[in-house]
Amino acid sequence: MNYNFRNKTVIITGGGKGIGKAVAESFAKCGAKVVVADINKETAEKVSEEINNSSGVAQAIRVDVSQYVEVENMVNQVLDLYGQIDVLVNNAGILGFKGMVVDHPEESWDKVFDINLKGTFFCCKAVLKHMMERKSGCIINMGSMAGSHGGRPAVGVDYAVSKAGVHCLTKRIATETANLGIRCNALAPHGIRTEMFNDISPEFMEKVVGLIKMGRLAKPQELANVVLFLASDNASFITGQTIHVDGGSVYGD
Amino acid sequence: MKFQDKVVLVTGGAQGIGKAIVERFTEEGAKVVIADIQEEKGKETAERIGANGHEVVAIKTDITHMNEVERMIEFTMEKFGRLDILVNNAGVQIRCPSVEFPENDWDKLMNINLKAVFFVSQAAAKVMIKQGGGNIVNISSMAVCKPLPERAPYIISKAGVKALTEVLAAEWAKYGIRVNCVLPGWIHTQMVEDGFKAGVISKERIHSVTPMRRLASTREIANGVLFLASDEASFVTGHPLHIDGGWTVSGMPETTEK
Repeated sequence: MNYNFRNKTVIITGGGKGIGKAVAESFAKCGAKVVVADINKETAEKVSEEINNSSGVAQAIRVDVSQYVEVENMVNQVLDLYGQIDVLVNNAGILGFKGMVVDHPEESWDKVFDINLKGTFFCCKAVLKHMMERKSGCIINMGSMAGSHGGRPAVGVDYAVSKAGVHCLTKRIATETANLGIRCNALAPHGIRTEMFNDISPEFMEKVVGLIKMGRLAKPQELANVVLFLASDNASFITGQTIHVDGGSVYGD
Repeated sequence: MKFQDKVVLVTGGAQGIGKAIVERFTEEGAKVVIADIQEEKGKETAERIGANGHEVVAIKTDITHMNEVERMIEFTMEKFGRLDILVNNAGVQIRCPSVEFPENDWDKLMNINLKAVFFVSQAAAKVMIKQGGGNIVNISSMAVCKPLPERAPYIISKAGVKALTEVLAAEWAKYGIRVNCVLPGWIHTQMVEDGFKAGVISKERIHSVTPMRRLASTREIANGVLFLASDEASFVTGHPLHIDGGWTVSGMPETTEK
């Protein structure tokens, strides 16, 4: 990893585990000051402590991204602490009910949208104020391949549709900010081995792997690598885009 | 050095985007073969970049001739013993209203922009499969998503390159070969600069439809190619990477004047 993010401040939501943890650790290794934001204070502090103990610089902040007041407070805290925000990685997300639309509970839909889409929107809105004043910044959103394909049957309809929303939000933010020195892009992962998919049966997992052309699942670091590329100057003319990180997946041949 | 000792073959590497790709790879430690139909220019570029201590060689190649394609691969193996990365960059543009477009120009353009990309990839894959892996990056175009008038065969060929990328990625993933493409937007090359001066293309119009309000440098396109070819993209294959300053997501442009 030979990027230089020294003197940059990066916020990662959902930074306490999975992809978010790998992203936080990778930015820290490249010299960034990392804010590990998570609804779970303990996991955020654990990640932050590990980074600080490995000569990195990290700060844990507890935040529920579905509450704008908390998001705004987080942004103000970061500005007080580090004076700037260079990169925002909207990684916080949850899975909801898994099943058919006809059985899908309203509560799952509301909760999943509040975090996956509204939460992403809130964090973008809150940091954009600062980034637009500075005329500098980079936002990376976590979408999903499910956002393009509907997600059946691996994830619920709310997860898939909320991620489709994230991709559209990415484009909209990109067009509003492209001439202000700000870029906004997203990842559409599939086939990633994280805690979020711990409940999946080995048989189903085998089926998933069988449909990935590369014949294996991704490690969180492979997602983190793409996030860092998008945040770097090597992606200076890339905005509004969704990078597919899916091992060449095609649902069905 | 991300590509230390990796062997890279760049078609059309003598000038423009191809040259920028060669430069970026050598900066990251790679050994590069420039295959270009322009013999003098290819040699000149190889010498100039090689003068900085980088290992760059050139071979005159018409990629529409299979025997020259085979020779190009043989040359790469003779010089450097392996082929890690192929960049299918060579391509031409022929601008003409579709109602007048000549058949022989269609054939010429398709042979270079599409047929050669397939057959050069095939030739490279044969080597890469034996090696246990490899990487191919193709140059498509954002015009595939925003059809520019009077450039139909070009756009069709680039759409073909995008589809080719997806199917070859699917077929060759099991051999450890990743295949991706970049879809550049407007790039500030000498050709484009000449186009501005001749009044054939309008800088103001391009700025108005590009959210970043500028053109890309060739280096910015090269950086995308390098990313796709690197280990950082280890789970990315069959992907069309748009490098267009936001053009393909721009919505309504600032001005509708032609």
